[in-house]
Amino acid sequence: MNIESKLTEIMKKRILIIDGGMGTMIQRYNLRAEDFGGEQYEGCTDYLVETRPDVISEIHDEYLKVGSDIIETNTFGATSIVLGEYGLSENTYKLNLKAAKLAKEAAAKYENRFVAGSMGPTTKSIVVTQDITFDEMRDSYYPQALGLLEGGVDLFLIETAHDTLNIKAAYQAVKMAEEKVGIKVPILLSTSIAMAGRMLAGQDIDAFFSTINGLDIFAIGMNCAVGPKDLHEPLNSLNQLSEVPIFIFPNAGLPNDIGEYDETPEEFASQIGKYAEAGLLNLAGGCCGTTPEHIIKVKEAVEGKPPRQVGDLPKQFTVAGVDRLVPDDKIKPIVVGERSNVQGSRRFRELIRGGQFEEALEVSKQQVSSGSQILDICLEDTEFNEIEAINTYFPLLSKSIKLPLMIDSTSPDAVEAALKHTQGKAIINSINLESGFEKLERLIGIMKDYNAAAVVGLIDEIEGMALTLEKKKEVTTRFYDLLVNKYGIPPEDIIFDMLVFTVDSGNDEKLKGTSRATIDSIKWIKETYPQVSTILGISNVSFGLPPAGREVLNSVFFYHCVQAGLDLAIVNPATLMRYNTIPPEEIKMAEEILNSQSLEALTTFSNHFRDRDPSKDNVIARANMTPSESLESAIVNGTKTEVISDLDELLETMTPLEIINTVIMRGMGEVGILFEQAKMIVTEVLQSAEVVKLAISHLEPLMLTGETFTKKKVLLATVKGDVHDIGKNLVRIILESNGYAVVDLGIRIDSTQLIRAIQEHKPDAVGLSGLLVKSSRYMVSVAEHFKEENIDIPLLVGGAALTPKFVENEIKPAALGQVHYARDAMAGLSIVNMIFEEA
Amino acid sequence: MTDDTKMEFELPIPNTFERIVKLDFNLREIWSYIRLTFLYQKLLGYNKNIRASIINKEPKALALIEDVERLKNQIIDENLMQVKAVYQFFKCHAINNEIFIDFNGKEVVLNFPRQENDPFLCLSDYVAKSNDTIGFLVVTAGHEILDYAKKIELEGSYKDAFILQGLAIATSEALAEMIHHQMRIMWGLEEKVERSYDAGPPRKYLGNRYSFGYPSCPNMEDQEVIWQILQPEEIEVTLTESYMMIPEASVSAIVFHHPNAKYFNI
Ligand code: B12
Repeated sequence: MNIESKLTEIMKKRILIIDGGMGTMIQRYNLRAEDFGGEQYEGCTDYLVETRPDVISEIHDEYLKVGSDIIETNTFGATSIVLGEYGLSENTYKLNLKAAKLAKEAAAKYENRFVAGSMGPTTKSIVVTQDITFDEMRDSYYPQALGLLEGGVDLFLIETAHDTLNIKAAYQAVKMAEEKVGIKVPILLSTSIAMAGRMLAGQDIDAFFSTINGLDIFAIGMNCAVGPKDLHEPLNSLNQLSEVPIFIFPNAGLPNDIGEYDETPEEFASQIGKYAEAGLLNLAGGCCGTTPEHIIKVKEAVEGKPPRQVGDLPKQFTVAGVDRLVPDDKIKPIVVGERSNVQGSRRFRELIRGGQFEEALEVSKQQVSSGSQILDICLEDTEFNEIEAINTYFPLLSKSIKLPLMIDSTSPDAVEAALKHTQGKAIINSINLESGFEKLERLIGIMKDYNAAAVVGLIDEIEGMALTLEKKKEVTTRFYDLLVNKYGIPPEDIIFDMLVFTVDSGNDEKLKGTSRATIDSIKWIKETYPQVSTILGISNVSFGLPPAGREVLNSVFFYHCVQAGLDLAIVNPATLMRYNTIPPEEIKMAEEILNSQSLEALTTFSNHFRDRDPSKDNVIARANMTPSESLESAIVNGTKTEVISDLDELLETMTPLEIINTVIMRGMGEVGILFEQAKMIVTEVLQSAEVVKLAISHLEPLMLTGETFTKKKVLLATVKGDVHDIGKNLVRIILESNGYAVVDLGIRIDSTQLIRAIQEHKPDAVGLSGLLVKSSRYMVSVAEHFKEENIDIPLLVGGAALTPKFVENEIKPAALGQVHYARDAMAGLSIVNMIFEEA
Repeated sequence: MTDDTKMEFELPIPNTFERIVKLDFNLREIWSYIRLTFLYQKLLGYNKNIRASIINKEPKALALIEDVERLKNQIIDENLMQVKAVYQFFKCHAINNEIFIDFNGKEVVLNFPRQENDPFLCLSDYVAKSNDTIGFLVVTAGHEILDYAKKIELEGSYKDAFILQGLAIATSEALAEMIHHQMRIMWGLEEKVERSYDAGPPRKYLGNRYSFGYPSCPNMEDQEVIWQILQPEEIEVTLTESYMMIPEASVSAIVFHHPNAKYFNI
């Protein structure tokens, strides 16, 4: 019987016990430099298998004695990277071989005990610190995996993993070693989930699970980082996800002030006992701070408790970046952002061609903030080397984009290069049969090695793209059978691209009826193969039509595809109109085209839209704008990328002051109007203010001494007894970005301090804020005090407890000058604008 | 006393009268108590119904949510928020408009105003004439997150600063809700079921929580009593001369178990 069946057999009956901490036990021996083979090796515990094998054997034996079914080899750090820190990288293979043999010898004294080859996370990280490449990482694990396997380990334990790419590198090293030796043993994969429920690289257990789910894994679990109690939530989540056995071997609680773990064996085991009682576990053991005493208790605690049973769990499409993405029926489809594509976006192409990767990253980030849930990235271009661009751009992406990525390339080498930088579970876009089986098989291999999903284009080697419904059905059926039955790809990892062609088919008879065929094919596929997903590049449908018409047609087409069951859509969410805001007659016109693609329908449609501007929300191609229009729209849209270059262009003909007083203030004026009309929200106004701040800080140093752009000065304060800062800060930002100078006195300011500040700063208006009723009353005293001092500058008052009535009846009568109630910060702005326009 | 305030039920007894100071929290658990409409519509100024907007995939809503989630992750990754809580149960009884609290054997009195019109409610009606218990809590999202927001605001990150401040406030409110939930469990008012994240925090429950300064108990001076018996200084929350709490993102409350306790205006 092979190991896997043997384990499976035992695990049907009971929960298996893994051993406890190795490091903790080694500490008990108080080893000195000589024990490690000299000062230069002191602390290299992995080297002890060479220098003090007796110690390691004894520890193995202690754990076996208390009933550990599985013991781990003393090889946690025995990769060439870590050993290299002691100048021992050459010994990697040998040490692992030795460690495996020691453990096997120890286990052989008992019946049915197993040895797991421990593979730790190393001291480097492909994603988090980016101080090593994927290939270097894999090659560093390889001699370890080989040594362990040839030394006879029964299992591999890839453990304490905190970086999803390190995991894949370790996994591939194991697979390579297995291939070399010709033996296959079960792999246990264990992640390390910290206090906040996430891995170091940010993945929670769900995202981690999606990342490795397709790999060939025997059991999955968590170890290290926290104590048993802290694993409650992740363990529950894992139970809802995993069809393979589950284990935990946590630390003995969290480290105390001096870095020691002090959860007692009883505490530790009782929590694990509870998990076992709830049927959540198949294996259990301990990590840092645990000892044979803990393991005895764990064994007692799980004794007689039934191991976790899993039935079939529902399967669904899932991908992950830092977070996991699963489809949500309420908000279909999943939006794939399309602008980070050198073939589809001119701007992105120019930036990448010019080597401006940081700026290109802004484009990708904008896609995130405009609502994309996956980013499609395409760097395939004739002007530069795609793989080099990938090796520069993808590390940047993995630092700042948390969304899952879709890697868009026709070159398998490029796809693989990108996957070596991509955390989580990505999508390959796309695989098809256009260039035959060899390429298809290569890409399928990559899917399996990296656990990626794939877009499958309906393109075959005979007729090319599938145009008609019949052909789409035929190719889909053939591909499904190939991928699922021949190559063993899970259906939920397949996303069929049903292909979209322009409705403007001209004289090409073959293209008539394609848009209807696409919509119908989605309906058909969702009925025939409910487990696979579908995807479309929406905007192709309107290629060649007038811009305003394109938005309408795209939106109507999108609507019908979603009704038919479309799962993913490659679109620019910013340019889709809401279906229910389109006038009914336009919807009809669009539907007519989609259904008939007749020349009449197209002509009517094109004429109708010929002279109309695309909707205002859309960013009109920047190329057609003057620098001042471009800057204005950057302010309105809150985008920073072009600001400096726009300013530099403007500075050729205008002074800094002119730019501020005309272009920038116009931009903010437009923002104010859009806010009034409820077309912008507060956070967007703040984003516009950030652009203004950036622009002004670029212009300020260029202004002549004595020159100032600020119109008027406003003094702001939260009154005595009140610590309300938040509302007041908002007021300050809004006023400043609209050209007012603001002196913010801060919180808890009494009337005497105010009067002193007025004398010092000579403001044109004073704004008071406060959260409490008491503060509103205090504002009355402030007004009175001002009156005594003959101060008559305009007063603005705001805050949650204030009402217009109170201002009218109480504060106004007490004041010498005008008093205005400001409902919110934008109202405050209109008030000051009004006051000073009058003057 | 009205029908609504009769004490026709068995008085619950909390499982401890110890003062509890809690400094170690899972922020995501707290955040699961945030009401979406409160955070997005009230605090962050989103101008439509946020739930409907999510369903309709309104780009503005999705972008805002993305920002909020990004900042939540940043708060966790960079350990930017130090939330704290102190809470405790006390034995008490009520006579007329007053609640007498047994504080280490000493009697501390809270006097509440009564409605001048029907149904003439007063918070003391929710406490029995003898052998009853009452809870108090003070929670804070801490000054660290507000300091950080201020810092990046000065550097020009207005939007993030604003959202972080909103999150700080929402966190303090959510934490009050969570501790209140905890206190109901300690009273035995909730079935002791593990709450699943998906089901969300309970919105309906037995008893009610009131904060001084709100309409049913408008006297801010009564904050003094909480400071006397709970000593929230230990979690670094102090009072100004107007009885406002420093830091700003803090909440204090008095917790009743009476099943009919509701909000009312004086
Ligand atoms: C959200 C909220 C909270 C939040 C945050 C408070 C905050 N810092 O904003 C939390 C949960 C922390 C909270 C706590 C408390 N709250 Co409270 N809270 C509210 C609520 C529901 C909304 C406030 C709000 O929208 N804040 C968001 C900010 C951005 O808005 P804002 O402050 O109003 O500022 C805007 C405008 O007012 C205006 N503005 C403000 N100042 C100025 C100045 C100028 C010059 C201009 C032009 C404009 C302007 O522009 C700002 C931006 O647009 C109000 C009730 C209500 N509906 O208004 C009660 C309210 C303010 N709270 C109240 C009370 C009593 C409290 C507590 C004392 C309760 C307690 N015992 O714990 C504490 C106090 C906190 C402390 N540190 O001591 C009372 C205060 C009344 C009173 N008795 O004094 C209110 C009015 C509720 C009520 N109706 O009784 N609260």
